[in-house]
Amino acid sequence: MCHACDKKPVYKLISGESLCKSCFLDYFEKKVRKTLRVYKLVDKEDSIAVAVSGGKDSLTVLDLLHSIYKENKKIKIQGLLIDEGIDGYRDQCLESTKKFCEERNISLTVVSYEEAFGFKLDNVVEGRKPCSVCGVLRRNLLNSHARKLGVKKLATGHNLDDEAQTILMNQFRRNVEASARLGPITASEAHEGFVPRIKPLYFLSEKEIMTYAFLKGIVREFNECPYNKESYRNQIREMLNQFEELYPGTKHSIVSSFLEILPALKVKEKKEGTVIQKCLQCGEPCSQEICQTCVVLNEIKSSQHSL
Amino acid sequence: MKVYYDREDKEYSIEAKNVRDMLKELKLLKNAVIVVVNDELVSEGYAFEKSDKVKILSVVSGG
Ligand code: SF4
Ligand SMILES: [Zn+2]
Ligand SMILES: [Zn+2]
Repeated sequence: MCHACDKKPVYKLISGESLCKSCFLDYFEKKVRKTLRVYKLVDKEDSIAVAVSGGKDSLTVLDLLHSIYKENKKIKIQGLLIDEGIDGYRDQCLESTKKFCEERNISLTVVSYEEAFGFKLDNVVEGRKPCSVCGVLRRNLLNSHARKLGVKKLATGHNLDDEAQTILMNQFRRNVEASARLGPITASEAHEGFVPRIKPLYFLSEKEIMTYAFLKGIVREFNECPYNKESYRNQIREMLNQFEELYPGTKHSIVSSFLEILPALKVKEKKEGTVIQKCLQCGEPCSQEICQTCVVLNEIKSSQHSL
Repeated sequence: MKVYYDREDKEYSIEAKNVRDMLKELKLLKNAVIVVVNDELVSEGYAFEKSDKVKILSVVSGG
């Protein structure tokens, strides 16, 4: 039975306590509000674009921020969706996101790879790692279009699982520099061209978010990118889930101990890290002469020419 | 008893009498799925009844 009120349980916490539907919703929303408050994710006056993919995480963030700040005239929330051109996947996400936003009267901006870069992701994955291309280009469009929309922040659906995975991935690949940019809110001081990112679901697990999204009727059908299963991240995810099963609390421990060393990492990066400048080719902020996006795009263009 | 798993889009026949044993039988990790019986969410301890319609929903972020 629910440990707080004796009703039928729907969720068991790591501590072993069970919660019923209404106590779980309460627990979840409190946790999000606490993250917003403790890490000062939202200012008194703010405008935020939520990077929506159509999945449970980002739709949950959009739904929560929208309902928390609906009555507050000084805080504006909108959606931003990047359509990479993944057939049978993102097109479906796009339809459900449009409907979701219409029902709640939330404005939604859609930007596609096709209009921005002239190709669909599906057409350039052969011989390349789909997620590497996808991640770099999506990050670029999110940042540049958040700027175009004039918003002050970009909110994402990143959760405890994502963060624990990324921390390990950076560790395994010796990428300390990238880890310095993690945390519930990203280093906004880095460069004026970077729109700061906030992660309201930072301390909630994938399972908790799915539970919430199911109880609130936010997601209906399962949908997975065809490139997801072969990704490096997915291997880390499976390994972590195995560990979590044997040692409950593992993901929390990874993230909490990381947060303890994050301030030191940031100091180190500030001292020794690369200076942020403007890409010589496109003008976006980056740490080399040519940004990652231009490197990826140049490579794709040159291979198309040689065909 | 038949159960449906959405990530595989497949139906499985199982022997297990409750949610915990079912996940073991199908080699699914409990932190990777949620279980829905007759359209309602149930926790691990739930014991099945004959007429139950059971669905296992994956919690992975699809990309
Ligand atoms: S799984 Fe990879 S290719 Fe698919 S949307 Fe995610 S990052 Fe992009
Ligand atoms: Zn309760
Ligand atoms: Zn560039």
